[in-house]
Parts: sequence; structure tokens; C-alpha cells
Amino acid sequence: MLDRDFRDIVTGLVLLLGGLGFSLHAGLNYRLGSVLNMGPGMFPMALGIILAFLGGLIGIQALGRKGNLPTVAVRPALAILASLAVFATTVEAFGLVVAIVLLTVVAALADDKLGLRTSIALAAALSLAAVVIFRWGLGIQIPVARWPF
Amino acid sequence: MDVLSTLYANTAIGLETAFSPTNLLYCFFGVFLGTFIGVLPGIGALAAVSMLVPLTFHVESTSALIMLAGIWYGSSYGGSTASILLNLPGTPQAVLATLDGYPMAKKGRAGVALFMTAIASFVGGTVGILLMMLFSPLIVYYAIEFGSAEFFTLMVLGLVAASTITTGSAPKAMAMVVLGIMIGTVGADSNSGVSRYTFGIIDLYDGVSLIALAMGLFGVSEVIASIRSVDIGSGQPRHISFRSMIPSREEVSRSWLPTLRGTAVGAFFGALPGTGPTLASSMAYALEKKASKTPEIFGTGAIEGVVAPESANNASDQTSFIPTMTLGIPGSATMALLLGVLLIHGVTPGPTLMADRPDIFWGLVMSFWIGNILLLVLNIPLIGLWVRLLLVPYKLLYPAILVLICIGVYSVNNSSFDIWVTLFFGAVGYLLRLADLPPAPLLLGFVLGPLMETHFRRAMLMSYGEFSYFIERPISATILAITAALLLWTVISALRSLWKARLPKGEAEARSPE
Repeated sequence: MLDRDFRDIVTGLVLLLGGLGFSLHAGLNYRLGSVLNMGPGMFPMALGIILAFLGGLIGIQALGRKGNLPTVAVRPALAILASLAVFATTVEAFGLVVAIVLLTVVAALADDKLGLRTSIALAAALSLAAVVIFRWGLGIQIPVARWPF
Repeated sequence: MDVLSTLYANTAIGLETAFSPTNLLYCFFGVFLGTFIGVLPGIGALAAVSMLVPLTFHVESTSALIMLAGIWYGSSYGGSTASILLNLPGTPQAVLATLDGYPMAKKGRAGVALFMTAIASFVGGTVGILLMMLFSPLIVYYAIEFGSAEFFTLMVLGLVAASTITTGSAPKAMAMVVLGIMIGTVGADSNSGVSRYTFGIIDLYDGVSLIALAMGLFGVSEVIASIRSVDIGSGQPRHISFRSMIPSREEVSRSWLPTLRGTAVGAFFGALPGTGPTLASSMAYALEKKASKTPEIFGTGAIEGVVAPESANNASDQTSFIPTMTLGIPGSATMALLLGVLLIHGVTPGPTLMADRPDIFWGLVMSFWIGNILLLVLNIPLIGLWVRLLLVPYKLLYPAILVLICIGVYSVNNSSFDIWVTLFFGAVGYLLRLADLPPAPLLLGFVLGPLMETHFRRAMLMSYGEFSYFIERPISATILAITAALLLWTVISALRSLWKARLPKGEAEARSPE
């Protein structure tokens, strides 16, 4: 237990700065116009200010109370996001099967529960199911296997 | 008499649409997948609907809507299964079913609890559909006169209601609504053609993809959060025999009144903007506990505590379609997603939909009847199938979910750029979870934001820039007054909690001057 609710203080601060930045970007780059004939900058400008205000409110409310910091699941988060990145980079160059196998192996790193052998078996099953259901069954335009070189 | 004959004619149109072989098939797919996803913890209805949206692009819009709606209310039926058997809610709104459902299972009454939930869900769903059939034409009758001022103020009311009537912090929910609207401004401005917040990325010119956003926020971040916390598949296989599902006469007589009360509560909260099934089922549970002569048995396996919230969330699932389909204003994030899908299909939900495309509106309503009857079959005779599904461990499940997300997102535009967008919002979604910021209002704001900006601009053009335009029109003035009252109430209660939080601290300092 911390003597301040730092989670909400940081949250509020991020929203406050983000809102101001958003407004500033709108004010500098887009025409504001008048209320009668609103330019593209008017609406985002107003939104940013409202967000900044709400962020300030969240932060101030948190100043007077105790709180806990959340526990971050670092390894699952990194592994899952990396598995999506691997799929995104490989699917067009190497096709669906390679992308699914890589995704599964990387995603399995999120946890110790899934060994390499099981994840490869799972990857094979998923590739087969995906090709049958999506490529043949639903006719989705996605390459099955490719070699870019 | 005129009303009845119109209703009769509409029902006929709806039945004809809903009973076409294609639509029957999609309705079955929808409720089947809905139950499937609902049963599995660690993947919610919202993620399920967004995961399957890409599959509906190749389908006619009515069939697509019927299927996606089926996933939504089907997941409510399935959601309580894991709650009762494993004390682990399959969907957020099924959390109430754990309170008394799991104790019932421990007493050996799991079969009865599952059976009665299915029946209560069916009653709730049925009444919800009837209300939708009766009230939608009435709302449309008035709403057909609405102009941009009314639509703008209604959307503001919906968003304010969604962020103030929550179980969590109102400023946080409101901040998420605003953030959602902000993300909605990315891309080419529809009025001037100026591209906003694209930072030179051409793929962003058409705006952020709704599907990529929803899958990132609800699919990917849910997987990250569930890997360590959801441990299904470790339990003992449990066989639910048909005989064990038969309730005793006493259980039936204790259930019917709570079911009806739950239905009423759910139907009311479902139709309100901004209040979803989770709120409806908690209200129903609280009401039942208050109305009961023996409130002490709640939490120890009272059948009343199972049927009331379950009938409530199914009733609210159905009535939540009323504002979405008649006004084009979604009350919850899932409804916002369905609205977005309809827009992608080139159908604009609103007061004119019922007259222009009666087949879509009434076909959907009639498909609810078919869907609910199918769900009754899926959840009573076939319950054993779903129980066995709970034996699949999550470690095998989450890679499959990720593959489904990736293929789905890719197939929308045949571009891997959208997978990067999903990755980005997956990370954002996880950070929001850590910061205890609710992601559902963000999606609501994202869908409604662009519509709001258009209506606001149009209203300003009509009034020559006079803000008083919104107050001069009686309907929009009334809506604004309700919105203002909600905001005022929130500000007052926020100030009060701030005051309360300061008070003990002040006292503590006074006592120990260190």
C-alpha cells in the first residue's frame, strides 16, 4: 500500500499532457474556423481540452487517497505483442502457414506451460484449420505459402 | 386495430426474412458461436463479435447482422456455465451467477442451476423481444421528426450516460469516451478533406479501422491479462445428466417471481442509453436480495440469486437493440460495434431504417425468436458439450484466438498494416487495464464521434452559429436538460467523495502531529 494513489496520479497526468498535446497539434496545424463554419481543427481542439481537464480531475482526486500499484504481466504482454508483430511481418512475404507457426511459437513464450513440441503440434493443427476454414471454406484472399527470394 | 394490423404485416415480413435458409443458418452459427465464446472464460462477447465481423463482409447485411446479434445474446446464455461450474465468469455480466450458482454446484445442484438459468434467460429474452416489437415503431413515430440538433444532443446524452452511470469512476469513463472520439478524428476530415493526425501514414487516411481497434482493445489485451489469471482445464470432468437438471417443485415456485422481476429490471436498463447487461444484472441481484424474506441465504446457493440476474441480462441484451436500431444511437460498446458494422455495410440505422429496410429491422427481430429457441436447445439437451469444452486448457486456446484475430484483421483490407494497428491498440488496451480505465466507453466514443461532429456542424450551419438553437427546439432542450442533470449529479458526487477522502486524512494529521 502506498500513501498516495500513484497509479491514478500518473494516469491523470498522462491524460492531461496528452490532451494538451492533441489540442496544440490541432491549433498549430489545422484551420480552426468559426463556430458558424467550423474548420477541421475546432472539434479536436475542444476534445483535447476536455481530456486535459478530466485528466487533471482524475489526478487531483487521487492525491488524497492511498493506493496500490498494479502488477504488470511483462512477459505475457511482450510475448503476445511480439507474436502479432511476427505475423504481420511474415504473412505477406511467406504466407499464412509460416506466419501461424511463428506466431504460435512466439506466443508460447508467454508462459512456461506450453513446451516447444506441443507448440509445434498446435501450430500445425492451427495452420491446417486456418487454411481449410479461411482459404478454402470462406475464400478469403490470403496467401497460403510464398517464397519472396 | 391499425397498430395491430401493421404489426402483423411487419411480423410477416420479418418471418419471411428470418426463415430464409441462409438467415436460419447464420442465426444458428451466431448463437452457437456465442454460446461457445460465452462458455470460455478469458474471451468476452465484444472480442468475439469483433473477431467474427470480418467474416460477415462477404455476406448480405441482414444475414451479417443476424449472426453478429446471435453471438451477442448467445454469449449471455453461455456465460453463466463457467460461472456455475468453475466460479469463473465466462463473460463479465455472468459474474453475478457465480455468487449463488457456484455454491449451488458445490451442493450438487449444478444441473438444476444450469437448467434454471437457461429457462430464466429464455423468459428474459422473450419479454425483451416483445418489448422491442411494441416500442420500436412508437419511438420511430416520434424520432422521424428529429433533426441534427436532436441527434447531436441524444448522442451527447448517450455518451454522458454511458460514462456517469457506471460502477467505476465517472471521470475515468468520461475521459475514455473523449479519447475514443479523439481516435475517431484520425484520418481525412469529411468536410474539408484535410487529413488529421495521420502523421504522413497513408494507411491512416481512411481513419483507424474499427475492427483493428476493437480486436486490439478487447481481444489482444484480454489474452494478455488472462494468461496468468485464467486457469481452466484443470478441473475434474463433470457429467451433467438430464435427470440432475430437473428442479424440485419448491425450486420452481421460488424462481418464477424473481425471474419476472429480473426481466423487468433488465428490460428497463437495456433500453436506457449507456447502461449494459452488467449493470442490469447487478441491479436485479440487489433488488432480489432486498425483496427477499430471507436475504441471508443469498450467496449460499439461493436459486433466486441465479435466475434474477440471468433473466435480467438476457432481457437487457434484447432491449438494448431498441435505441440502436430506432435512433441509431448505441447504448453499449457492443451495440456501437454492430452500428459500425452496419455503416460499413452501407446501412444507416436510425428512424428511417424501419420504413426503408423493413426486412433488416423485422428480420432481425424475428431472428431473435429463432435464436432464443435454438439457445434453449443448445443449453439444455446439449449442455454436456459445453461442460466438456471447459476441459480445454487456456494455453492451447490463446494461440488459436490470436490466429483468429490476425486472419480476421488482415482480411478486412487485405493489409498487414491493420495488424500493426491491432498490436498498438492491444498494448494501449493493456495499459488501460493497468490504469483501471474502462475500454468500452472508448469504443462507444470512437463510433459516435464522427457522427457527432457531422451533426454538430450541420446544426451550426442551420442556426447560423447560434448555440441557442439547441435550447429553442423543445426535444433537444429536454435532452440537454437531462444531460446537464446527469453531469451535475456526477460533479456533486465526485466532490463529495473528494471531501470524504480528505476528511479522515485531516483528522489523522490532527491526532498525530509528526
